[in-house]
Amino acid sequence: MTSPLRFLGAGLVCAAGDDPAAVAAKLRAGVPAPVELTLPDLGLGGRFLYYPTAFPAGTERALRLAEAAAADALARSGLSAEQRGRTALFLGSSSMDVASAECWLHDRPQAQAVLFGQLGGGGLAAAVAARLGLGGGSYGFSAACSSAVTALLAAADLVACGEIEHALVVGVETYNQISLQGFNSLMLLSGSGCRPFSACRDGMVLGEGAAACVIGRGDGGWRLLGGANRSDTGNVTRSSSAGMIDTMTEALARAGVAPERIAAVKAHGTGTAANDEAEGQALRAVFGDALPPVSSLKPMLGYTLGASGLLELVAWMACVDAGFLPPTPGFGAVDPDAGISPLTAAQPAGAGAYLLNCFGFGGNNTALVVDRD
Amino acid sequence: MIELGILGAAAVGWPAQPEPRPVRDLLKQVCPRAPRRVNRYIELALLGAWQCAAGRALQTDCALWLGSGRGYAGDTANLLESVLIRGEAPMPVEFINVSGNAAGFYVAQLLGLSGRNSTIAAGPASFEAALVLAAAGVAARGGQALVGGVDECAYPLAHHRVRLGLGEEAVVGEGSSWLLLAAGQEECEARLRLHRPVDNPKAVFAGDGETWLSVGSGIDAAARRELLADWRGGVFDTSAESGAYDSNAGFTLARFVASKPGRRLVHVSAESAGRYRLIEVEVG
Repeated sequence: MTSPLRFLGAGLVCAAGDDPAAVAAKLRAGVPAPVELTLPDLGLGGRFLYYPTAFPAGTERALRLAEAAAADALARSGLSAEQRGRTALFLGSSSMDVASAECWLHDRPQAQAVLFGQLGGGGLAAAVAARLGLGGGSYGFSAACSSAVTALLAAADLVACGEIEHALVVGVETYNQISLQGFNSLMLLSGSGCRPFSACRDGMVLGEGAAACVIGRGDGGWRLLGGANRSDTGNVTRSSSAGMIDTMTEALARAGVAPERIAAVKAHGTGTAANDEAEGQALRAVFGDALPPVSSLKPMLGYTLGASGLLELVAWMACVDAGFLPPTPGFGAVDPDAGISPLTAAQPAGAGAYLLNCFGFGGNNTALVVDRD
Repeated sequence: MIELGILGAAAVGWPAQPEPRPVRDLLKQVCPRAPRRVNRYIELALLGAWQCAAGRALQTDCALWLGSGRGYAGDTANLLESVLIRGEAPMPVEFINVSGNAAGFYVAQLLGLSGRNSTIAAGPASFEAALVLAAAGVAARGGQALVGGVDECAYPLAHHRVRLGLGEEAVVGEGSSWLLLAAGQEECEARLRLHRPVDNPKAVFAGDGETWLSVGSGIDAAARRELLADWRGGVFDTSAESGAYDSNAGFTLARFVASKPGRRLVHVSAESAGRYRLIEVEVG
């Protein structure tokens, strides 16, 4: 019998910090800390983003964020140089290098955007792999907000069938005007803060950051028990509760974990009306009267779009490693249509497995089941 | 090595013309349920996927893997210029239609698929990357996988050539080619074998009269000459038929399955620096 896949090392860079333990400490405190954007003027006064201050705006912003998180994950994994030479890179992002294209255009206002050579290719993944000396191939995943988790599941399959020994999975999202103005055009941005599952929620707060993890065979630590990625083709911008139920159910089945073994749920919890209502209904359908504690990390980390699934996974594991389940700050009254009361204060982490949801545009629904032994 | 059956194939592609070919008209000729308010790239994806799936029993949880080197290059560029240079707010549908997996969504919707759905970019080996990941998924989880290679030209074509780093003499192209894969299928159009990456592909296949060779577009001219030197079999080169684009290996493999010029094709793709992936297709 083969040993289960494990997370051998992880790293992250986000609004709450660039060290998993330090980020966990901020998540325990549960104080939402919106940071006013000081990058180019957006003409969208009153809205906030989260961003790490350690990296400048510029054409290499996504690369530098991804490289920082990935280098930490590799260092913590203990992979040798020889093993790194055989490791494949899986990078998920919603916007990839759009931010770089924006900077390029900003400096060349008479140019045609189509001449920006990198636009749309797998260049970002290849560049990160080259910088880190990874020689097992590189893959860029673009599945909207579930990009990085989709990348994780594909990496897990490639390791599981013996094609590679180790995979470095990276999620990265950087500030860019296309994403900001696009979500604004859909009237999904909050001007006041992210309050998942609250009756008074009014939208999402975009975030920025990167996360990375190394997966492979090993002993001890966090295990990837299973996961699912499914298409929900009813509406391109809105996943249905039925689709979410199917995704969570498949993930639990592939993990061989009954719902009653789930110690807590890391919800997708965007703070938008449609997602939280559908996810709340789906969670109640999957767990019935025995709903475990639920929390969303987006009030603290922002909605980091294509990176969010992996960033929130790494942050969640750091919290449990520190012995607690993180709260969902800013929660107000229960929305009866969603029917979820997330944790409002940190509580001790119990034994068991964890379910982590991540849903994206294009009906791209994912769920992961992880535990620690 | 991973071995799977190929249940179906569709090779759709053409050399670029001075003006964009009307993909929507082509799609409406073969597909009665083409969605509205989608862009040309999505229509191109639908055109190939529909033809690959036509008349075949796809499982509803069939996985969908779309490999593309450039994605919605034209529409993304237009959106960037609109927002950043002209200061216009994006229309919701413009923004949604350049979401990375919008094409995958509409393909899944058209074909009634609810399985996993992934869009992959790996430069000039984007189709091969999608194929490897799809095969690993089927090997690990079973079922079927529909794998596509879709890239479009952005216009004006002169800009597209500059962006790709191609000269006036190069035949650029676009296309949407698909393979339907399944595990454990005795009755299939062809068999697919994915070999582990190697340093020296010529050590694996010396070539014989029944084996054809194709060389991936990510392999440079010198390495291509070296691969073809002393090759005793045929060379299956579809570049004149499809034109050059990042995911045109899909066209090559699908065309070989459909036209069956020989018993076996070995496609060599660049995996990473100095490493090659061999993809073998055997028909009959």
